[in-house]
Amino acid sequence: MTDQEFIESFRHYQKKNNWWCDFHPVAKLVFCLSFGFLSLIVFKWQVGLAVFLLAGLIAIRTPARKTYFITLGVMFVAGCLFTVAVRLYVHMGDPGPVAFYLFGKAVPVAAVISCLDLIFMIEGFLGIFMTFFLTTEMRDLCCCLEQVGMSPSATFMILSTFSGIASIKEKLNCVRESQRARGIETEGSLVVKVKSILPVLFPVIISSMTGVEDRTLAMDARAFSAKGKHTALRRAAPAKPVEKMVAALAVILCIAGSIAGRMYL
Amino acid sequence: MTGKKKKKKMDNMTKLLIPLAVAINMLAYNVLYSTTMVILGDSIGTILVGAICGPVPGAVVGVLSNLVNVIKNPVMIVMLPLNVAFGVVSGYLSKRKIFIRLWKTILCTPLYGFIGGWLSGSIIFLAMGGDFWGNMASVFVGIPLFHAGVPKYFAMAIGQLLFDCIDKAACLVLVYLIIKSLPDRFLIKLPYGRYVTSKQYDESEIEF
Repeated sequence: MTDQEFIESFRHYQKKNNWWCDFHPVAKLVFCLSFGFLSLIVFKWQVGLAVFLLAGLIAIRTPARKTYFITLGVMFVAGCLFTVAVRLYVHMGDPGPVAFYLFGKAVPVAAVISCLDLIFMIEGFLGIFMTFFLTTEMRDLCCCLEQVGMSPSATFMILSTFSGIASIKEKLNCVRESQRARGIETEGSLVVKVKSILPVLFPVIISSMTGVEDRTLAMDARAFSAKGKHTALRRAAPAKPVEKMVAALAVILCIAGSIAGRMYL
Repeated sequence: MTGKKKKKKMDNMTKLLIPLAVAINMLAYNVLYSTTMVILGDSIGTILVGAICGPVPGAVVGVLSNLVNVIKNPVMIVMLPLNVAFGVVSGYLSKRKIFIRLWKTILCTPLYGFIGGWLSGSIIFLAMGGDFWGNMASVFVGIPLFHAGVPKYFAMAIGQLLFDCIDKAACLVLVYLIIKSLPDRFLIKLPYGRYVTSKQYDESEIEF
């Protein structure tokens, strides 16, 4: 990208040439929250599966499809399988129709359905949220939230939270290397690792906290607290009527689906 | 003068400390949990900001920490009220000058343990279909208690409470040590800084 193209990119609305990635961030958030909570509130495998399939259909049409399915697979193994094993162990030998036998003990159908409910609730909830987080830039979301009335201080806090995590991790690695150079063992047995926690963790936390003073002065120098409209480098397109309608429909569907799901499933 | 209470604005230092505290929560979790497997440490930043900046910034840290966790594991959204409660409780305890002495700080462990353990156990129990969740507390304490005849809800809540008390005791000690390591001239500039340091300053002595 040439310098001129880079400059020009800020003169227009941010576009990624993908229908889901270009969907208005706030409308997308409302849509995903509605379906995520539908899966959580109803807590039945039928609803979880429907939300999971919807999320999969959306994700497959975005550039983030590979990351989506890898993360979902990892979360399934890390988050679901252990809980399912615990649930099956607790319910082994319970009365009721038998689904199968495990280590010589009967596993009832109710336990298997309970596990399916849990798996699809998690996968549905996780899936729909991942389609949001993998396709939305936080700065675009914050820009849109400011447009709908959120205070610049709040959006600043959200954005600096995400950038702060990356910078503090860098600082941690730097301090770890420094302490190692000073002769503190940071790798080895469990005892060695536990002993190295404080010499690594404390300098990072204390130096980051005391550094806040300088950053406060920098913020004051740039008139952060001044009254008036804040300017932004990036421009986000306002929500189209269709996007607003999709978000509203998702909310209605969530409320109606939650009531119907709790009553009939 | 109007009878209405004037709305207090958050100062810039607090605004900068909030994102930092969220990052501290993430950092402490990565460092402590990967090493000890018992101490989570993901509320150190929330308790710290609650103690030195007050209940509202503490609650904001709780909300933001939960939102960051939600990206990794969206089911964690149900724990949002607990993170908020840690920040609020820390603010109120700080105002009673609890964080000045180590023994007073450690004595607050059951309160934090109750919020993070018993209440989180209850939320998990309700949100996850009234059954055990696959975590260490359930496997090592909850399920054995359940098999010993304790009702499922109490077995799970007791397990969570025990594990969380260990975590919160370590977090509170770390928060106390961090506060003691921070220079007084830094603490005194923060809204609740005067409640966590025993030194007294005149306003004229402070350089803002």
